[in-house]
Amino acid sequence: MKRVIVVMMMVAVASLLALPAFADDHPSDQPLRAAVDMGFVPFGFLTETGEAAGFAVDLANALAEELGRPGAEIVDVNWSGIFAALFASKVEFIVAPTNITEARAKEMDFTEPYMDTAELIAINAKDRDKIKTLDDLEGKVIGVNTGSSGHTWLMENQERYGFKIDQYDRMPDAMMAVQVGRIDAGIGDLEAVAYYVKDKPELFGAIAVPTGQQYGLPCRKADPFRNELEQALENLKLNGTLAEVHEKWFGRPAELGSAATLVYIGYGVFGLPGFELTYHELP
Amino acid sequence: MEIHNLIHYFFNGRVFLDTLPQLAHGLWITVQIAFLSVSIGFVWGLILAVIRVTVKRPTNAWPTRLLNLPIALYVDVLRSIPPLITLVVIYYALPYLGIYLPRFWSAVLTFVAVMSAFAEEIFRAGIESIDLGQVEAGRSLGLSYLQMMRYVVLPQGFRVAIPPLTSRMIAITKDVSLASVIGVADLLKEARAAQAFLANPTPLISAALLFTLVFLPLVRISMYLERRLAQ
Repeated sequence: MKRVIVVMMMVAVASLLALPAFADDHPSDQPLRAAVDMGFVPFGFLTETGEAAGFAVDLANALAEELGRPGAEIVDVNWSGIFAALFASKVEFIVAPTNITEARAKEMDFTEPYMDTAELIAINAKDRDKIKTLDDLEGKVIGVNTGSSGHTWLMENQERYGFKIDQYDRMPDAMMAVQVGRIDAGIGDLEAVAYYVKDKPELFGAIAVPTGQQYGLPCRKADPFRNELEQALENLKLNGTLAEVHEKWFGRPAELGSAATLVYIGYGVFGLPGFELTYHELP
Repeated sequence: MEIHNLIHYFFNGRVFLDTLPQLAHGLWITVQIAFLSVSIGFVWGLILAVIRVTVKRPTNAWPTRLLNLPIALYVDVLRSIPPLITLVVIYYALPYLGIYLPRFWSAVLTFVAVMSAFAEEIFRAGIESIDLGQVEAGRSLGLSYLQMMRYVVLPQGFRVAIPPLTSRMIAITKDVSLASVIGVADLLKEARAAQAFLANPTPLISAALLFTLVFLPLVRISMYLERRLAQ
C-alpha cells in the first residue's frame, strides 16, 4: 500500500513538472531564464506600470548581455518553489538573492559570491532608547521570514540572547507586525530591511548583525553552465557594471574588496561542495 | 531531469526523516486549529440556522422576521470575503483598536467565523428541505417547537447536511495553512522553512503525505456516516 502511494505521488509530481525532454537547457538563441521571487524590494518587484525592476532584474539583464543571450526572461517564482523550479529546469539559475550556505551547496552549485550582506534588526521607533544592542533583546519577540538566513541566525543565537522567534511568510509581514506593536523587532537581510524602513517613520533599523553572509547565484548541481555564468559575473565585476547596479539600488557604491568587486579564485565557493579550482583567464 | 534526480529532490528519504519532527509539530498546530474551528463553527452555525428558520416563519410578525437580516448579512459577508483577508484584518488591523488577539486565537476566530457561515447555510438548506407537513404533524402531536426540531426536523436535516459539511470541513482544514501570513507555524509553513534551509523540496512532498494521513480518515468517516444515516 505504502509503495503504491509513493509510486502514485511520483507519477503525479513527474507529470506536474512536465519533464523537459530536450537536452539543451541553455539555448543560446533564447532569453536567459532567471528565477526571481518578485515582491522583494529592492531586489525584484513590479513597478506601478507593471514592469519588473530591481537589483536582481538588472543583474539578470547584464548577465544575459555578457553571455551573448537575447535578453533575460524574469520568471516570477514564489520562494517556497524556487529551488524546485531550478531542479525541474523551469529556469536556468536563480537570480533572487540567495545566501550561500553549506546545506544549500550540497544540493546546488553556487557561483562565486557577488554581494556581501548582513542582517539588520529593525524595531518600533518608540523603543529606540530601549533596544540598542543584541543584549537588549532578552525576552523580546523577533519576527522573521521563514527559512531565510535571518531565521538561521535567530535559531543559532536564541539561547545566547534569550529572545523568542516569530515566523512570517515574508520579511514585510514581520515588519508590519513590528509597526502595529504586535512584536518587538524584525530581522532580515540588511539591504532589504534598510530599504523597507527608509520611508516608514514607525520603524527604526537598530542593530546590524555582521554574519559574513554572501549572496551567490545557484545553478543546478554539476551543470557546466555554472562556470559560464560565473565567468560572465566576473566580467561584470571587472568592467564595473555590477558596482553601477549596486549603487543604483542601494544608494552607495560597492566597497572595494567586497564581493561586488572582488574576483575569487576558481569556480564556485571556496571550501564548499561544488568548488572547482580551475585556472581561468580574466578578460 | 532523470529519475534519480527526481527521487533525490522530491522523495529523499534522509531529508524526509531529518525534517519529520519539525513537520509533525506543524501538523499538530494545523490539527488543533482545524479541530477547534470546525467544532465551534459547526455548533455556532447550527444555532444560527435554527434561529434563522425560526424567526423567518411566515406566521411571525414582521419585526421578528427582520431578525433574519443580521444573520443573513453575517453569513453572506463571511462567505464572500477570502479568509486570508479576514485573517489579516483580525491580526494586523485590530491592534489599531487596542485589540491584541494572540495569533493562534486570531486563526481560530477566523476559521470559526468562516465555518459557521457555511455551516449555517448548509443546515438551513437541510432544515428547509423537510416537508412542512412533518412540522405540522409534529406540532399536532403535542411536541413543542424545540422538541419538534430536535426529534423530527434536525435528524433528517443532518442527513442532507453531512456530505456538504464534510467537504467544507476539509476545505477549511486546508485553509488553515493561510494562517502562516500571521506567523502561525502550521504544517505547510514548517515544510516551506525546511525546504528553504536545505534547498531540497522533499519536505513539501512529506507535507502532502501528512495532509493525506489526516484527510483520508475524515473522508472515510463521512462516507460511513452518510451510509449509516441513510438507513
